Order: sequence, then C-alpha cells, then structure tokens
Amino acid sequence: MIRLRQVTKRFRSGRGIFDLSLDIQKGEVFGYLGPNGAGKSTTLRILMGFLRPDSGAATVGQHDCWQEATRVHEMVGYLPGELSFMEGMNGMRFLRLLGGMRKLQDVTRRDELIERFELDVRMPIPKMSKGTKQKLGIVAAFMHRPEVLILDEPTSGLDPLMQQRFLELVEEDKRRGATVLLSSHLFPEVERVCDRVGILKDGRIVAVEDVKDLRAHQRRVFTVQLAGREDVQKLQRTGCRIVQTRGDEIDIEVRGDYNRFVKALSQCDVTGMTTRDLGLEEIFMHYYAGQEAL
Amino acid sequence: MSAALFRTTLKIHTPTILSYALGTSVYLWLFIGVYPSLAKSSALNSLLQSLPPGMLQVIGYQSGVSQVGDFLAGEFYGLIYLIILAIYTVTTATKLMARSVDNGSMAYLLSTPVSRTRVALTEAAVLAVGIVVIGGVSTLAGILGVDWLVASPNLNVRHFVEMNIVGVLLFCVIAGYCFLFSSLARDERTAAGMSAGLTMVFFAFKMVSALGDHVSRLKYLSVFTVFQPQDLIHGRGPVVSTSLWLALAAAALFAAAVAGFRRREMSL
Repeated sequence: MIRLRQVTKRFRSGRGIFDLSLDIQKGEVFGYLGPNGAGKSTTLRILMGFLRPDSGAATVGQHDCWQEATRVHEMVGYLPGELSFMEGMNGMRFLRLLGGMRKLQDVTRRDELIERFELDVRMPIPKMSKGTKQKLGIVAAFMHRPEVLILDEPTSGLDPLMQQRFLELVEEDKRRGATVLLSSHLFPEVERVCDRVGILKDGRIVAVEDVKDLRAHQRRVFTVQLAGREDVQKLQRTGCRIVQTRGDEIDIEVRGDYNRFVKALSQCDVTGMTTRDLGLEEIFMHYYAGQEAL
Repeated sequence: MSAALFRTTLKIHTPTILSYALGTSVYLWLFIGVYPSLAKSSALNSLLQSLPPGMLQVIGYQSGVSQVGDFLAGEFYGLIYLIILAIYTVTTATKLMARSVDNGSMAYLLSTPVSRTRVALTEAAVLAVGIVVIGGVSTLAGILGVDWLVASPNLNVRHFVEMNIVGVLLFCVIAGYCFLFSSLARDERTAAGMSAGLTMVFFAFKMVSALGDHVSRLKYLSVFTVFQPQDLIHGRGPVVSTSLWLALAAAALFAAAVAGFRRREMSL
C-alpha cells in the first residue's frame, strides 16, 4: 500500500534520507521510529508529495506521491508534525473547511471523534493548548475514514488517557482495513498498536522487525524471592539464566523460554516475584550502540 | 478553485478588506470635503500657475484645481490611494501563501484532494477580490461624496470610473508579483521584503522621474507610470489598451506564481 523504493533526499545541511526502501502492506500498522532529526518527517513529507525525492520512487496505492499527489491525497489522512493552523477560526470552522475541501458529506465520524476526544470545537484555535491542537489534528486526519493514515508524532502533547484513546482509534481503523504509518521517538507509546516497527537512524533504516517476534524474543528479567538457601541452589541447577543472586533473591533472565522457567519455579518454594518490562527501546539499544561506535 | 476554501479564506479576510475599503472612502470624503474651500481660493490657483511645470508634475497638479476631479486625481489618486492599496496588496499577498507555508498550516490544505494549482488559484482569487472590492467601494464613495459634498458637482463620472478601473488593474499587476514572491519565497519575511521592496522601488522611480528631464527616463522602470490619474480624469490616453495590457500582465504573473507553487518543495 505504501512503498518506498531506494528513495534518497539530500538536504544542503547533509541531512535527509538515503537509499531508503520500505513496503507497508494493506491493513498493516507500521511504527516508524527514530530520534529527532533521523529523517522521519522527511519520509512522510515525500509520501505526501510535499517534497520531491532526488532519486527513487515513493507510491501510495500505486500512485506516485509527487506526480499524482492529488490521487494520493484522496486516500490519505495526514497529521503533520507541526501544530499550526490557519489564523482566525475556531476548531469547527477548520474541520468544516477541510471537510468541504474533501467534499465530505457524512460527518457522523467527525462528530463521534470530537466527542471521543472531548474536543471543544468552538474554541478559537490560537487559544487551544498543545494537546487540544493535537486532538484537532487527529480528528482532521481520521474524520473522512481514509484508507491510509500518515501520522507524524501523533501521540505528542496528548495526556496518557488521550494517548490510550488514540491507540484505540488506530486499532479500530486497522480493523476497518486502514493502513497506518505512524512515526514516534518513543517506542512504548506506539508499541501496542504496531504490527511492525522500523528504526531510522541518520536517514537510513537500520532495522525492521515484527513486533510479535520482538515480543517473543524479548528479554525479561524476573526477580524471584525464595523461602530458603536450598531453593536457591535448586533453581541454580535447573539451567535457568541467572543474572544475579542476592541472598534469597534471585534475578532470572527469560527470552521466550517461559515453560522451562515456570517448571523450574514449580519445584521451589516461591514467596514473591516481580518483573520489569524492558520494552522495545532496550531491545533496539544495540542498534544505536553499534551505530554510535562507528 | 475550491468553493469551501474560497468561502473560508474570504471570510477571514473580509474584516481587513472592509476596513481598507472604508478607510479609503473616508479619506476620499475628507479630500472632497476640503475641495470647496480650496476651489474658492483663487490665490491657490494663481500660485499653482506661477510654479514651474516640473514642480507641478511632482506634486501632481498639472491642470490646476479648477475641477474636483483634477483635485482628487492629483492629490488622492496620485499618492494616498497608491499607498493604501499597496499596503493591502503586499500584506495580504504575503499572508495568503508565504505565511501558511512558513508556519506549516498549508499542510492541511495540501493534504486534501484539492490540487496545489487549485489551492493557489483560490488564494489568488481572494487577493484579487479584495482589490476589486476596495477599488469598487471607493469609486462609489467618490461619486456619491462629490454629489453630496460639492455644491456644483462637475465630476465626469465616466472618466472617474475609468481612472478607478485602471487603478484596480494596476494593483492586480502589483498583486501578481507580490503573489509570485509569496508563492515561491523560502519564508514569510523574504516574501514580505521582496514585495514591499520592489513596490517601494517602483514608487521611488515614479517620484524621482518627475523631478527633471535628466531623470525622467526612470519612469519607464516603474509600473506606476502606467497609471496617470491626471490624464485619465480628462479622458486622455488609451484606456482600453492600457487596461488590457495590465490585465494580461496580472494574469501572466499569477500564472507564473501558480506554476512555481506547483513545483516547489515544502517542509510541511
């Protein structure tokens, strides 16, 4: 649905994106991750036909993003990374303007989204807080039930509750069959909804991974409290990866091999257990660390 | 053109357009109001006759002030009118394109299926409508004002209207290059600077060229030279062909702006 073929866009500053290829299937939610300045927005701008690639081809639903931008825009809902709106209007007039430009007849989805995000559309836009502006942008991107959603840092500025509502909205549109490309520099914020994530670093994709696989191979450390010394020794003999032992407390690393871990625990007298979720961030750490070293 | 975008943008700019229209009209009435006392003063007319013709050209009184039309053409249309409309044109042209691209709000307009060409044409239409409204309202205000405020009105309405039409078309040309800068400039300040700068240069050439024969050629470097209110109010000069040329030039400039805007790259 969304396809980039060896796209290069070099800015005079030396930044940009380089030889970037990416394929996002219909109905997929793709998380586009990377630090600020990695080229995330540049990629999205190329897909929207605002920037023209130096070489390579970008298409959305078979349409060239630069040549046939209008055709692409018919299918797409876009949330820009920058929160600025036309002067001199309130939220409703802004949504009506975009609806009018899209010749949108059915406004039930728009009104439903306004309610869901508790958006006060009568407020003049300059008076809106950052979060409110972000909500307005989200409603504008989703209100016409687009086939493709291109969202630049959609969760920024939203409070945790609204972030949850946004993620629910993405899941809902995914079930409807929409293709979603969303960028973020915070992995845990978007991890829940993404099917795949791609990591961008200095304009190049350094990794594309299936979130399911990542979860399965996710390294998790459990801290287990045991009744006595002999239990500690028993556990040490089961072949579990033990990171650290502090008296009756033991840190065990688990990578997908949960059955073995549970079986081992069943032989011991366990008095308590805690765990810490490492999230994608730490899983991808080595990519960054490796690049830094170069 | 997009009807929805046109309606909304025009609505946003309506207060500005109306205040410029009102301002121009009130200014015009002020001039019409003082005219009767000036016309009576034969001292002024004899003073004007005693001045060298070059000087008269600078202050815009080649034909004296025996008629209200001469007075308005020389004093108002030769200066105040140009300044008011120039300010409107430069600021509005800059706001319509360059500001939206600079602050990023253009992203929302361009992410709809309305093409760049149509977005630019719609914004251009709002700019042009504003000039026509301001010009139209002040034409009407002038005709009515003379009728109300001057005891024995001797204004040639047809020539007065023709003068206003050429004035409006002149500003359509100015709007054309301002819109071109606005559509292509890197940021809002550059657009405003180029538009205001070129307009001021044109204006300076017009003023300086009247100072003497050795600098009179400078007038060919100014777009304002096309607009000669003193001639127009007497029905002199080729009104139709001048109007056509101005309209053509304006259309060409707007077309260039749209074509450039279609191709440019934007970080939205």
